[in-house]
Amino acid sequence: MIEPWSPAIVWAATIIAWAVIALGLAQTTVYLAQLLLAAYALSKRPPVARSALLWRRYGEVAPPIALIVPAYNEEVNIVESVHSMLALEYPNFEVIVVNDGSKDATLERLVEAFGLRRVNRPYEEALAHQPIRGIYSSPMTERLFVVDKSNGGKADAQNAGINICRAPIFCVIDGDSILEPDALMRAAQPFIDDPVRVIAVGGTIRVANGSTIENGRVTQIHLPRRLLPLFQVVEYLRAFLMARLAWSRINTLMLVSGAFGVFRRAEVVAVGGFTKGSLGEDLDLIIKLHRLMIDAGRDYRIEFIPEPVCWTEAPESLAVLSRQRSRWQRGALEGFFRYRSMLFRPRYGRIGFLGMGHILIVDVLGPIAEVLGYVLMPLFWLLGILSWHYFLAFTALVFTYGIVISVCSLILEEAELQRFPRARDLAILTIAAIVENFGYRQLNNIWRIKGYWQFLRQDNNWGEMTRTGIARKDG
Amino acid sequence: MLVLIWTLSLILSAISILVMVILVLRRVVAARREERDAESRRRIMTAMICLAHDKDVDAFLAVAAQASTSVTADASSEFLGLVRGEEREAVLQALLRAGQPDFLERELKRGDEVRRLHAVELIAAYAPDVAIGPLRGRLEGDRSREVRIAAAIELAKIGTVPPLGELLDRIGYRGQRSRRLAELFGLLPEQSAAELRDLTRQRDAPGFLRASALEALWRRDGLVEPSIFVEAAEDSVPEVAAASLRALGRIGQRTSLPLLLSKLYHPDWEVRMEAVEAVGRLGDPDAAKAVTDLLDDEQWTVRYKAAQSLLRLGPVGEATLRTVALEGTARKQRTASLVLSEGMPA
Repeated sequence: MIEPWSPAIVWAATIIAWAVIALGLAQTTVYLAQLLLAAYALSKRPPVARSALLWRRYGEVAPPIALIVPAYNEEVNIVESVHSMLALEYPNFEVIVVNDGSKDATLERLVEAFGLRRVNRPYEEALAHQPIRGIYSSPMTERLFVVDKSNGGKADAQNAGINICRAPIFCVIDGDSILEPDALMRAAQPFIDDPVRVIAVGGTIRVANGSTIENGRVTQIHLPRRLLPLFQVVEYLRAFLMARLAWSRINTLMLVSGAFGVFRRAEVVAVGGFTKGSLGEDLDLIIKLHRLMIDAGRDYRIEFIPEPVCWTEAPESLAVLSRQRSRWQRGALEGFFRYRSMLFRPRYGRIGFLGMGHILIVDVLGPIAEVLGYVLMPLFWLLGILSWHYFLAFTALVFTYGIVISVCSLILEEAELQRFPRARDLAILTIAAIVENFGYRQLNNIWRIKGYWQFLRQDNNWGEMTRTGIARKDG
Repeated sequence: MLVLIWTLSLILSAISILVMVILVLRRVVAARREERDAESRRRIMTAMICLAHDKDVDAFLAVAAQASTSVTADASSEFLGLVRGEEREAVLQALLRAGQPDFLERELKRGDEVRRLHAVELIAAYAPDVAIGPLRGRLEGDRSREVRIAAAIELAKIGTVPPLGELLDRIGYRGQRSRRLAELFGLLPEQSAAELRDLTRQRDAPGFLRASALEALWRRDGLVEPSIFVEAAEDSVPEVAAASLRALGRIGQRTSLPLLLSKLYHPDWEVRMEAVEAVGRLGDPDAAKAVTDLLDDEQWTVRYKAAQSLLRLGPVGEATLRTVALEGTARKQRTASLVLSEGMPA
């Protein structure tokens, strides 16, 4: 029989266990609330019109948009991506690719593919960035400009693009991404319907691994064949369909993804553009925009609409995914601590309480509590310090509620959007939504702790993102 | 409490998995229905192509009778966008006999917002006696502002739109910001010019509406006296003042040059930008000196437009720009040289 533990140890263990469970409960409550809010938002949103109808309806009044594409070592995908961007269905747009001092042949590939020539193009030096070495245009199309600049990071490249662009609205997109042909038209709709208040719009990012790409377009949607990207499909569903849609409904959206976001230029310039050297430059920008608009007492909207879709390549190896997730975690922590003065400050209302509070629970405290729980909860139970009820409650919060949240996101997707073409895909995703809670979720939390450690050590290394290139069938 | 957390999690996960299984089964059934509809749609499209060619209405009706009305409506929407004149008329007559307007009217009453919007655009293709009633019904009673605006646009295309005041009352006045309203104003008949003019003067109306009205007026050349734009240029709302200056530049109102020059120093940069662009459009070389001052404006867009305007002023303007590029102060010089080199090989 195990010796009874001293009351002090039991008391300390109980407090730790309750703290871990309380944080888990808070996180689960936030997710469940987001699910309900997202379901409400989806049920209230007008159903989706076909793109031909959108063109007929909004073509005349669509505002000019500049697509800003920062590219660093993107030689594998860049030409394909630019082709797909130039083929977008939008009446008035230009594509500005910013080669951020790539070490590979990104610029050479572009020069060769589009017959680029160096030209002069006056631009506003509204935002600071590394020097521009040259601006190129193409005799093949007047829509394309390529900016070649010294390396300064993604935010720096985006700022250069913002300076160069002349459109009142710009869209940032990653160099390895592919936009659906009607994505810009759909993303522009809020700027047409409410041009005074809307300052930023985010769309959905989907995982392209496994799908077939022909001539820069996703022609056949398939699920990834590998397990890691498959789990990321479920994760992206949770992030975009649940979290962003929910917060957008109450104008508390804290993140418009840097992989695909549309912004009004004037406000972005007013907040100094993307913060250079930031690892979560997209989160940082949105927090700055909220702060600017609230401080100025202006009525505004930052919206997420699920229909405009941007396809991206998800990491397929543990090493690359680990680097990406650690970086995301550092970005979240950086954003939180940089703007911590907004937390729970009545002046910032829903942003201070809900938006920053959400980052506090999910990104700042969440990973620590969960990893602590993985170690301590089984230990407390096995050593007989605490009853198995504590262990069960923790297991419920980590595993079974995890399943509920993931499967419910999938339910939302299927009930309202139905973007996966086959019933078989849904069945596979349902299994993935269950299985990802056993192993993948824990790995993710370990990577986040690694990100925490790097943040504390002030390691600002972006990390190499190795591209394998999405499966393509080009003519 | 701890047991409750565990029990509830089991119940919720079981329910969510069960719902998902039902949705997967529903998808299997839906996929079969979609296959049937796709086949129907293909047959309807083929029948419409034949109908446009040989005008055999009965053959088309026989195919349409076997397809659902929604599939026919969907296919007709796409096909009508491709045909014109006699062919389009023949297809519309056949669709009329196939009972499409009745289906569209039902859609207008019972469909969701997108289906109602679609039905509004489709029913407008039919003869006015078929379309006007349902469109007026939507304008007067639809719960969605987007549908009301769409109905108003279609009525304006047909030429039977109600007076502007009533139209705005129906669409909804407060919080009105949609860019589609500018499109609607542009479609209003010439008789509406006086109403649009009155709207531009209505100080309590949103600036966006008044600016849209000004835009609609200048786009329809000669619809109103230029004095309306001169009057609006003095408006305290920058959006309205900017729209009026744009109008004066676009209609080429040479006598407005002194007014435009006085607005080059307006505190709002968008007004300055429109003023300097309008001055460039008027092309009077005497304005070169005043425009040159704006090459030093704090706003890049204003500086850029000023340089472009100088180029529009002909040889005098271009010479001024070249002089500034060589001799001006830093900001002026940079703007001038950048604009002069625009598009040149680097």
